[in-house]
Amino acid sequence: MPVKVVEEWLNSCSGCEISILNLGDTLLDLLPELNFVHIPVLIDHKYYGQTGESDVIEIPEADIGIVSGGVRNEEHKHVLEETRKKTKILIALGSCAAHGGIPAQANMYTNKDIFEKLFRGSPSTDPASDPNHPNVPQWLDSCLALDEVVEVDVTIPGCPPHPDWIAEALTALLEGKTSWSLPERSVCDTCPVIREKKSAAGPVRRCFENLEFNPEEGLDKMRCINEQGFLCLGPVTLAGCAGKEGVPRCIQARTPCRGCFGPIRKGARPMVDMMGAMSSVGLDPKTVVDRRAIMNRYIGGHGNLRPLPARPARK
Amino acid sequence: MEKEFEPKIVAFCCNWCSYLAADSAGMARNQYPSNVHIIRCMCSGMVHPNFVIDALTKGLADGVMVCGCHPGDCHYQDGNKRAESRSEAIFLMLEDFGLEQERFRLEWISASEGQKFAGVSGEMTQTLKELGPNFYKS
Amino acid sequence: MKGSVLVVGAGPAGMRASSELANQGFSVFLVEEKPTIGGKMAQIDKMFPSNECSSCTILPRMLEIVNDPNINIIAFAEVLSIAGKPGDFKVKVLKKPRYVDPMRCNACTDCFPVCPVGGVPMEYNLGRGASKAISFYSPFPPRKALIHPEKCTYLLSGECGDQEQPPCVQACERRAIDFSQKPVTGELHVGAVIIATGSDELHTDPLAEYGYGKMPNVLTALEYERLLSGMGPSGGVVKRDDGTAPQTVAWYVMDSASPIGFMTAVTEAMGTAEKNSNASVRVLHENTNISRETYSDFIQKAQEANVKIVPVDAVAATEGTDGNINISYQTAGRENQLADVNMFVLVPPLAPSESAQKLAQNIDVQLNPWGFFDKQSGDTHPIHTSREGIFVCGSALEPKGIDDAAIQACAAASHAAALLSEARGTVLAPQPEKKYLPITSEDEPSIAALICKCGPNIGGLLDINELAEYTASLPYVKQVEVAPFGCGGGEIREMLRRKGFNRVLVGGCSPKTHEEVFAMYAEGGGINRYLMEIVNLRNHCTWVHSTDPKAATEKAKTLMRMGARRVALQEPLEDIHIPVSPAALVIGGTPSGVACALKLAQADLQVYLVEKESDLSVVKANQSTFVGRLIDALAKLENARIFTGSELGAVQGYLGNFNAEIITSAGKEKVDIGSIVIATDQNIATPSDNGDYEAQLFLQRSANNFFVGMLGNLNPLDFNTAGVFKCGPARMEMGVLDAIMDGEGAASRIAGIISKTEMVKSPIISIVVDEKCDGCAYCIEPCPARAVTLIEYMHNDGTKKKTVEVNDAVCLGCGSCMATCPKDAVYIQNFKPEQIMEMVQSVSEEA
Repeated sequence: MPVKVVEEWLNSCSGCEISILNLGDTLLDLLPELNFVHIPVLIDHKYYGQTGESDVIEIPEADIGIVSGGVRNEEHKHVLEETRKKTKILIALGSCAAHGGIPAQANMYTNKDIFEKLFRGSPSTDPASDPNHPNVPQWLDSCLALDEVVEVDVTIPGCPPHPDWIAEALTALLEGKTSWSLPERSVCDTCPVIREKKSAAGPVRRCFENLEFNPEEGLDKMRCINEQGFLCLGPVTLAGCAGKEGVPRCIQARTPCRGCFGPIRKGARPMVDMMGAMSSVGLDPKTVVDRRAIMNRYIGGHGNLRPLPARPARK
Repeated sequence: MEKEFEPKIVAFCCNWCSYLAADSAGMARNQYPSNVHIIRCMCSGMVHPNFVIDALTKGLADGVMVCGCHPGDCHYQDGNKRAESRSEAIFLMLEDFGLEQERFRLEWISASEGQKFAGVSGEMTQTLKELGPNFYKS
Repeated sequence: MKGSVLVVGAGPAGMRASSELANQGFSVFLVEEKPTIGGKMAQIDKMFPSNECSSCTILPRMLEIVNDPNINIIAFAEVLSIAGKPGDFKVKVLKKPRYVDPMRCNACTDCFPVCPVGGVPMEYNLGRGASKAISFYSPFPPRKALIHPEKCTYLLSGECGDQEQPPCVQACERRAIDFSQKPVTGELHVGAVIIATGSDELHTDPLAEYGYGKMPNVLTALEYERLLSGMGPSGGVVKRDDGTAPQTVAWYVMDSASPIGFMTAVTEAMGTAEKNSNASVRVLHENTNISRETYSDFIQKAQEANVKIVPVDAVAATEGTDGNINISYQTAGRENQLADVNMFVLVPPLAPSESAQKLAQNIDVQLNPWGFFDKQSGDTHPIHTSREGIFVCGSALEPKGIDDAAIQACAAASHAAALLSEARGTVLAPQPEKKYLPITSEDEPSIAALICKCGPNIGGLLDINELAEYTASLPYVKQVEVAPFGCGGGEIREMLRRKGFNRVLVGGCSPKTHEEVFAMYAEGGGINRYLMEIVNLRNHCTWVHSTDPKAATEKAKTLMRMGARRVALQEPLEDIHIPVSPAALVIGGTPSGVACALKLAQADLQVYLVEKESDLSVVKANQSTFVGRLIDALAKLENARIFTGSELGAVQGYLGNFNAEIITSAGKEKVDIGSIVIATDQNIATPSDNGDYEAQLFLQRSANNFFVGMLGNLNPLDFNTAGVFKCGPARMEMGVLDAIMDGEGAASRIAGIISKTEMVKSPIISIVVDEKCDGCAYCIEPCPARAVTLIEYMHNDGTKKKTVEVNDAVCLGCGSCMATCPKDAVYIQNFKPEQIMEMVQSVSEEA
């Protein structure tokens, strides 16, 4: 008998859902075993009855819940909590669900500041008051990862998450397992570039400077991007962006890892680890431009990004 | 009456200079506030920025000190220099985590400078008392 | 032939000679006339030319010596006579009475406050500061109390206090005070003798001409060192006797023959400027020319730090107002200068230490006209005295810097080792057999805790019952005992006899002083020493929070909690044994290289010498007959193989286990060696087609093309690459005799490695976590020992992966890799991040 699946998207761009579709042939193999009982991205299903007749949110019961996107407003929170109630196993799909994702960059600012900028502060905007229609859901104080709101059983990070992992996780759950996780390795694990030692001194080079490499040659002939003095988040980022096999995607494009898979293990702090490692080998930590945002690009949840309190300058 | 705020301070002291400085402070009976708790490390260059940031952002301490040998005196040649480079990163990150710069301090204290160890401990305690509790504690 | 050596004088040279010899398998008696060791090095603040803290550098070495079972320190003693012949000397030693039994005294200091006689000027501080009639001589080992016979009321009059026993005897729980002590004479049986009695300031009439002894703020350089030192009478704050801080200080260097006085003055002036940036400091000297590069660089640095160097002749000093001194001097430009200074420091010439003459008479050894142990007879070896089998090193031979003294001490050690080679290893202390309980890191911790009251030092301030009760409530703590003096060992032995424990937690004094003692007790009870933790309740709590018993008790609880958490996560560790190739490679047939090879071969060790010239006689021709004799002696020794007309090919390996290709006219030969010394005179790097050993061994050169190595005055011959040394003209310009001593010094460093079949080192080293490391290579550059290498391996899934590997033999355990690793993949044994964070966590909790 196929297992029932609920798929929800919260503060999401639908990239994660496209990743599910990108399973391709594998999806066709899996589909007979999956019964999507609720998947708003594909099939219309109203929360309060087809005509809005109910005043209680209704999400069908299911064995597996897949949720993409972070939790930005009261609606997201409500839907997530309901999904959790109705599902036995909850999968956080994609970096927004896992760590807050790109939208959680907003966590560096207060809602007040954001609204001020959005509706009045920007030079190209005609000033208007904050929206306060009762049907527009209220923002939460910050953009949260799912596990900051409910318990999550399986996390598949990535922006987007790689179809290999979606298939592997679903297969594991179909086999009766109750949890699954990616191996705790960093992006360096599958990165083929030449490494010797990190001894670059001086300022960190900006991404618009050119990497040195010969386009005629493979990646295994290119020197490590960190060792060329650039900031590459590979050493502090969970491996897997290229799926089960293959070279990390940004490295394939000869560009530094941006950290989309988030920390290697729960609780690790990529910014602290990276700043520590770079300063240890003599790179000037002050020269990382827009440090907080860059180092926490996909992981603004879990308190990694928060508005800075106003403080008197150092004496 | 409300009890005066007593900051909790962690001091990472290297095995070869600063830990001995704290021992010397004892021998000379140089008094300092009981807020400072020493953790012996082999070298100041052993202290991962994570230890400092975690101590502060998990609300475990109100302030952290890393104490090593004076430049040129490091038992391992340049461990203290590495500690200094990392401390630059730590100061930057204190900002990122919304923490006051005064909550972290890097000091070179030689084995004979018991008085300096006591002095620095006293200053750090006083500074943190004025600053109040680490807001991550709440 | 006896495999033991007597070393007279425990300053930097004597200490170094002792540890070098112990390292080569000889047993050492280290006799020191003062009650504590360290010599002048323990009295000065900073050393030239490294400007490093002197006590920081010497203290770890002292602790090494104190804990070395093959070095027997006999402090507060003098040598009365030496009879016999080389290899078989009988030495009479007089031990002076301390009136305190050192076996019983545990340095608790209870007797100090009760002693009614105060204001005793401290000899160690050259009369500044005051102590009781019973006190420590200095802060350094051996830390045993001492009674001043000329000040002690009881010794002078037979009575003290109004009770039957003097107050100190009553205060001493360990019954260590023994007024019946008399001088005791003992006999030692040794194979060789090394004299390292050092030098001292020459206090003669000219000092008085400049106001010394008449004006209060005229000091000698050594007295000024005590004011600069953090362990000195003013805690490192330079003050005049009236308590004011001097703003203008002048030094007058009275010895123009030796650079030592000048360098001392510059170091002190720089130290003063570092402490007080407003201070005006100047050094007056008749001969400001310094040829030695490291010294002149240091002087330049001092000048950049606002130290004024003034070449002068004719200096005079008269008393000014407010304790100031009016000095007048003629500069080299013949101008008369007047200055009003707050302090005037005289740097007298250095003379042999006071006891040298008596010692020389006692043991029938000649002195030169200035009283140094130097024969001044051209073609004999400076290290030899007039009596065979008795050697000399350090400032006892001639005033010198600590770096040179360290080299000579090594050279003297290699002379003694060559003389006694057949008796090496015959009189070593037996290694105690270790029988451990079968404890693994998986076993649930079961902690035996001991709280030491250290008399009133801890017990007098803390609420011990409360602390003991609290400690008993900590996780895994199975039993808590309170001891009046835990270091006696009774309580801990008794507790461990009851079995069932696998961890030991001691709340007491500093692990820096008592780790060895408690490790011994723990191991006696079958518990690995690395499963023990000492919580420093005394130095870090009671002694420094003595006005607030309540707060101190709370802190003590926190410290015990931290210790309990840490020890619960500790793992049993075994020393690391690394096999050693028992041979050495000497690169360069210079006088240094030849001298080094000769001393190694004479010490019965295999040595290979590689020289590019076709014949060592080419070297010989350019040198003195002295060098010629060395070359002839070397040629006769079978265990020295000389490769002339040869050069070095590829060199690989690490400390104890190098291998090298030697390319001769006949072809290539491969040799396995444990250690390498660079004794070339080429001051340009010349990688040959066959290999580039400088790059392969990570050797570095200065801007002037001399080899540079480890920082610090005590390591002049060491490279940062462990097991590789430098000597002679490869490291700086020097005369031929100095070059020979350099080579012999290097021989001692090498013999310390290759005279053993294996090296034993501490297991506190770095461990790579395979599951976490993926070879990002961040940790490679920060490793000061170059112990970390990046390797590729084939994963079982068939893909090529990277990881790092740590070489146990060279890892120093400093933890730089751990602090660098961005993925938590490397840690130092027993300093795991989780252990450290557990301790931090403990700080945050309340009892």
